[in-house]
Amino acid sequence: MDSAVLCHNSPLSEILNQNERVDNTNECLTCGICVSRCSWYDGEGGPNPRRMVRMAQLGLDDLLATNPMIWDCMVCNHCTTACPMGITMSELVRKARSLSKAEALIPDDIRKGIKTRLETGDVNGFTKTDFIETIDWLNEEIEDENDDPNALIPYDKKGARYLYLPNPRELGMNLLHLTAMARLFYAFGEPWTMSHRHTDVTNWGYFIGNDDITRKMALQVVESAEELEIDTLVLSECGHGFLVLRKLVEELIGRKPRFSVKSIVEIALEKLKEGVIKVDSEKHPYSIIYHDPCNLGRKAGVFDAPRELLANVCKEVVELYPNRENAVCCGGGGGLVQDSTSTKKRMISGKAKADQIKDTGVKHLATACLSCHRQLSELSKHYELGVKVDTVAALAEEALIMT
Amino acid sequence: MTVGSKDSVLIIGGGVSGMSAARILDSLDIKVHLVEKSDHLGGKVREWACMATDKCQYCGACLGPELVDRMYHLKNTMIYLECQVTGINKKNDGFRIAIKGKTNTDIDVKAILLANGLDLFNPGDLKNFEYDKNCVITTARLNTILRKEGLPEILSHNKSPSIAFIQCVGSRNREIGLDYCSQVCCKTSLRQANKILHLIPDASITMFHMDLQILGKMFRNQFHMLENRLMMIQGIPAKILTSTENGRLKILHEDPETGLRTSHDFDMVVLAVGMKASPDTKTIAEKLGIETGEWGFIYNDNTTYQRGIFSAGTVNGPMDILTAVEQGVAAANEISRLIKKPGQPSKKNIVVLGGGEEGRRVSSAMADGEYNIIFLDEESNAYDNDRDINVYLGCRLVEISGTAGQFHISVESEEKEIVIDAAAVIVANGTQKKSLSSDKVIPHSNSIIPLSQFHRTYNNNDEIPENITFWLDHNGPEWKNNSRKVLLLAVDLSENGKNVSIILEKMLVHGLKGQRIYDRARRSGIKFLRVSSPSDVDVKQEDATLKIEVKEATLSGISVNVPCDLLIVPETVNPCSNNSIYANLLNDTVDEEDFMQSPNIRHRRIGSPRKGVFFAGSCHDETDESDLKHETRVIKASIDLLVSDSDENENTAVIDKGKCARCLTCFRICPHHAIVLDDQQPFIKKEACFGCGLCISSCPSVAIFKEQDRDDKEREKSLSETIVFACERSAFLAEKDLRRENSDINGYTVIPIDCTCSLDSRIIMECLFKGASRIMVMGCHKDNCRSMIGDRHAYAKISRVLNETGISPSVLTYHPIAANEPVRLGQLIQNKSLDQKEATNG
Repeated sequence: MDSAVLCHNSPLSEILNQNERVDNTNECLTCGICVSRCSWYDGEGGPNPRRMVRMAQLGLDDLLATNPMIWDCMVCNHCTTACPMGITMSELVRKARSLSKAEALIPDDIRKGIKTRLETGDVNGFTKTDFIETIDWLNEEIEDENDDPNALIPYDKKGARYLYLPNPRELGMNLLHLTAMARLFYAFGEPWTMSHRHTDVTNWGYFIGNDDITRKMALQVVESAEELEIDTLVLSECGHGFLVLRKLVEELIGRKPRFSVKSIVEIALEKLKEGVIKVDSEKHPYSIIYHDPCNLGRKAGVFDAPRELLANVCKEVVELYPNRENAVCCGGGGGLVQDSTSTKKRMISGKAKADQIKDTGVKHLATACLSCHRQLSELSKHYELGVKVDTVAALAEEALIMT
Repeated sequence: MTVGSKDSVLIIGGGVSGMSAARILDSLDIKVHLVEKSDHLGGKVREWACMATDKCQYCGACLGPELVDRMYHLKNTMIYLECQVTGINKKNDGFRIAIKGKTNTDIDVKAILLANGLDLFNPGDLKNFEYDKNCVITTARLNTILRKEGLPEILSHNKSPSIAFIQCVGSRNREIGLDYCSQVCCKTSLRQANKILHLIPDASITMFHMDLQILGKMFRNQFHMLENRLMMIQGIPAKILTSTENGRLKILHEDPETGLRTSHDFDMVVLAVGMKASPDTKTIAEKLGIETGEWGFIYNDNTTYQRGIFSAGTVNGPMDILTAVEQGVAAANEISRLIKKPGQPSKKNIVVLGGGEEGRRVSSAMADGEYNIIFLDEESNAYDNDRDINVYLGCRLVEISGTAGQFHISVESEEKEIVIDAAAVIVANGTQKKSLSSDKVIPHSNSIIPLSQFHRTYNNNDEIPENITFWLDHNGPEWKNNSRKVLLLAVDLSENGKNVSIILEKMLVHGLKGQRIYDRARRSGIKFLRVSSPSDVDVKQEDATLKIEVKEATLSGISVNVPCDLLIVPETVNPCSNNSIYANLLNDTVDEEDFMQSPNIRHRRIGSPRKGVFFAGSCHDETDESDLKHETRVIKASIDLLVSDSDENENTAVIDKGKCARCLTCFRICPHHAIVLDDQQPFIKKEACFGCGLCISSCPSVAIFKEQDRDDKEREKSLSETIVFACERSAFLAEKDLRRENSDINGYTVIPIDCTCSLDSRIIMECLFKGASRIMVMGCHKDNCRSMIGDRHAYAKISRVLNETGISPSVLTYHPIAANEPVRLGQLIQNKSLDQKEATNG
C-alpha cells in the first residue's frame, strides 16, 4: 500500500491558488460524477478523474505528479462538465503536469517537440530556408494550374488583411491541405499572407501545463503577426492551438493582441454568408457526421460554425450522441496523439468515440482539428468502421465554385 | 352575505400541510377557503406508495388519504379545486383575495396560509446528465409504479433484477443553483430499496450516493438492517448508457476495492430527484410583499405572522411528510390565536420532565406566557432561568395518573414527595453521552479529547495546537448535532489559521444551509478524509506524537498519514438509562434503540397514544436547534387544541354504569390510558379517548358503547360471499380509493370498523351464519395502528375463532393494508396479490 502525507499548503495548491478562476479543487464534494463521465473506455489504463482531484485536494502532489494517469488524461473536460462545483479538470491536470516531479514522465516526443519549437519556431524544426523552398515549390505547382498571380501563396507581406497560421503537417506530410487552404484565401479575394517566422499553430506548452513555455510559444505567433500588421490571424484547424490563441492568449501574454483571431472554418462561413464565395451544395452528396473537437467546442464554445459550413456542402449533418458540450473526446486529446508511443492506448481511449460513430451507421465524418482528424482516421481503421474522415475546411474548399 | 367574513382564512394548497391546517381551523369554527391548483386534494403525497414490508417503515404517506377523506366532512371549509389565487390586496385588517379558475370569486380573509408545496426536480433539466429518458425512472415514478403494484411488470417479471439508485439528482449542485440537500431523498430511496427487496427478495440493489443522510428517529437501525443487503457505492454517476444489444443500462463507476473505473449493467435505474421551490411561491410572495430565501422557499417569522401571513409544509423547504403535517397543525393554531383572541383563559400547568440542559431549553421555549411551566429536573444543580419557570431539582418520577388536561404527577424531589396537577406532560430528558474511554478503537492519549471538552481545555487561539483532526462516524453513523458542531468548530479553527482535517464516512448536510456550511469549510482549506468504516482509521500514540493513518476511500490502495497534534472526537450519544422506566410510567414504549417514544407515525413526531403526553428533543428523536423549535411549536399547538379538537373526540365510548361489573378489564387494556377510576367505577375521559373500541369488544358485560352509534346500514345490507372488515383509518380508506379508481372489482361487502382491535368474534360468527364464505380482516401494518395494538388483537381474535370453531384458516384471514394501498387491496380481494402469502393467521 502506498503511503503519503496529507499536506495543507502543497505547491500544487499554491499554484492553483494563483489562478482564482479555476482554483476550486478544494471544493470537490467527492460526488464522483466525473468518474462516470470519463470517456476512456473501461479497460487497460485510463485516468480516474476523482482520484486526481482528491490527490490535489489533499495535497498529495508527489503521488499525483508521478502518476501515469495525468498523462493518460485527455484533458477534454468531459468529466467536469457536469461537476456540481464547477471544477475544471484540464487546469488541474495541466498544473499537475507542470510540477517538477512530473517532468520525468513527460513523453519524449513532446519534450523534443517543445525544445525544437522554442528554438526554431516550428515543432518539426522547419527553418526559414525550408519554408521558402516549400512555398516556392508549391507556387510553381499552382502556377501550372492558374495563371492569376493572386492564386499564389504569399508570405511575409506586410499589411495583408489575413495571416494564415498552418498546422506543421501542412508544410510536411500534408501539402495538399495547404494548397487547398490557399485556394480558399484566393477565393476570398483579399490580401493574405503567411509568415516565414512562424509556421506552427500548435502550442505543446499547453499540454505540459507550463505557462512560461505556453506564453513564449504564443508570443512567437503574436509578435510575428503584429510585425506584419495584419488584421486577422486565421488559424488552421487545430483544437488546442485555437484555444490558446483565441481564448487564453490575453491572459497568457498579459495584453490584447493587436489583431483578431479566427479559425479558417469561421472565416470560410463568413465569406459564404456574405456571398463572397460560392459552393456547390451537391459536391458531397452524402450525410456526414460532425465530431466536436473538445478544445474548439466544449472549451472554446465553437459549435455552430463548422456544422453550418458542412451543411452547405454536404447532404446533411448527422449528430453523434452525445454531442456539443457533452461531446466525447476522440481519444487523442491532451497530447496523446502527439506521443508516438500512445497508439495502442489511444485505441482504448477512443473506443467510446468509435462506438458512437458506429451507432450512426454513417460513413463520412468531418472535424475541425487535425489531431482529432488523425486519431479518428486511426480509429476508423482499427475498429474497421470504414468511415472516411475529412476536415471541414477541406470539404468546403473542394466544394468551391470558382468564378 | 358576501363570501368570507372577518374570521376567514385562506389556505393556498391542498397537500398534507394545507389539509391538516384546514382540519384544525374548521374544528375551531373558523371559516376556511382552501384553494388548490390541481383537480384533486392530497398534493404530492397522493402518489406515494406504502413502504411497509412486514411492518410499517414510518414514512407517513398513508396519512395523506386519511386527511383527504376528512376534507369531505368539514363543515366550515370551502374547497376550490382547479383554482388559483390571482389577486391579493390588503383590506382593513385583512386581505381581499381574487380566486380564478373553475370558480371565480372574491373573498375577504383575515389570514393567509401558504401551503403550496414545492416541485420535484426534472432530471431532463440537467443538460450534462446523459441518460435515455425512456428507460430511466425517478423516485417519484417508482412510487407511482409501486402504488399500482406494477413493479414486476416494469421489470418483465425478472425474479432477480439488478436495480440502481442514484442519489442527489438535482440536489447539492451549485452549477444549477440548487446547492442544498433535499433532505428526504436518501430515506426515500432506502425505503424504496427495502420495499423492492420485500417484493422481489432476489433483486440486487446498488445505491450510488454522495453522503448518505442517515439521521432521524430509528433510521440508524433501519439503515443497519438494510446496509448488508444493498451494494453501497460512494459516488454518483451522471451518465447512463443504454446498450443497443440488450437494452440494459450501463453505468461506469469506481470500484471501491481497486479504485479503478469499472462498469455495471442494470435492469432499472432510479434517479433520486431533488426538490426545488415552486415558481408559484415567488409569485404569491411578491403579491404579499414577503421575501423568499435565495432558493425561492418561504422564509417567515413572527413579523409575517403579525401581518396575518403564515406558511406550512414544503413551501418552506424540503421536509418529510410528518413534519409537513405538523407544520400545518402549528400554523393553524397560530392563526387561531391571531383570529380568536380569547379573553384571558386560565393558564394551563405544563410539566416538563427533564434531565438538565435539554429540559431547561424546552422549558424555556415553552414559557411564552401562555402556560405555567413546571420543570421537574432530574439533576440537582440549581440554575438561573430568565423565564417564569417553576423548577424542582433532583426529581425522580414516581407516577403519572389521570388523563390529558388533568394529569397528576408524583415525583420525589430532594427526598420530598410532591404531586403536581398539569394539563400536559413534556418529556425532555435528553440523552446520555458516553465518555471516550469506553471506545476501544481510540487509544488513551493526552492528545485526544472529546468534542465537549474542547472549549473547556482551550481559552485562546495561541494555546491551540497547529494540526487538528476531527473524527466523525467513529462509532457508527454520526449524530447530526455532533456533525454540525464539529463542522462549525473546524471552520472557526481553520479560518484562524489552523491546519484542520476531518475524517468521516459521510458529511451530514441537513438543514437548508447545511451544504453551505460544508462548502465554507472546504473553501477554508479543511481537508476531508473519507473512510468506509472506523477500522480504516488507525490511531497510535508513538512517544509524544499522535500517528493517524487513514485508508482513504476515494484513494484506494493509499494510506494517508494525517499530521495531527490534537484529535477531537465527538462523544457517542446514547439513550438515557431510565428511558424504559419513564416509558413504562407514561404507558408508552421505547423505540428499538431505547430512545423514548414509539416510532408509530400516528403520534409522531411529538405525541404519544396517551393524549397530553409529549416528547421533545434528543430523548426521542435526532434534533437540532431548528427541530427543537419546531417541536415546541407543535407541542404548543397540540396543548391548545387538546380540548377543542372536537374532530378527534367525535366517536368516543361511554360506559353504562348500570351494566358495568367493575371488572376493570377496560381500565387495564385501554391503549390510550383514557379510562380513569372514580371510587372503583371506571369511566371514559372523552378528551383522552381515541374511540378505538377495544374496550367495547373486550367488555365481558357488554357495558360499553359508542356515544354516537355507527350508521350501521352497511351491516344491514345483504352480504356478499366475501366480507371485508376494514379499519376506518387504513383499509377502509384504501377501499374507497379503489372504488374511485377501479369499479370492476365486486362481489364483496366492506364493513368499516373503528380499529381492528374492536373486531368482535360475535359479528364474525354472525357473518358466517349469514352465508359468508370468506372473511377478510384488514387493518394497519404492524407498528402503524393508532391504538398501537389493533393488528395484534385482530390476529389473536382470529386465531381464537379458528381454534374454537375449527373453520378453515383460509376462510378467516388478516391482511395489513395501508390507506395508500388501494391496488393491493383489490388484488387481495381477487386473490391476485403478490404477497398473498402474508394472509397468514397469527
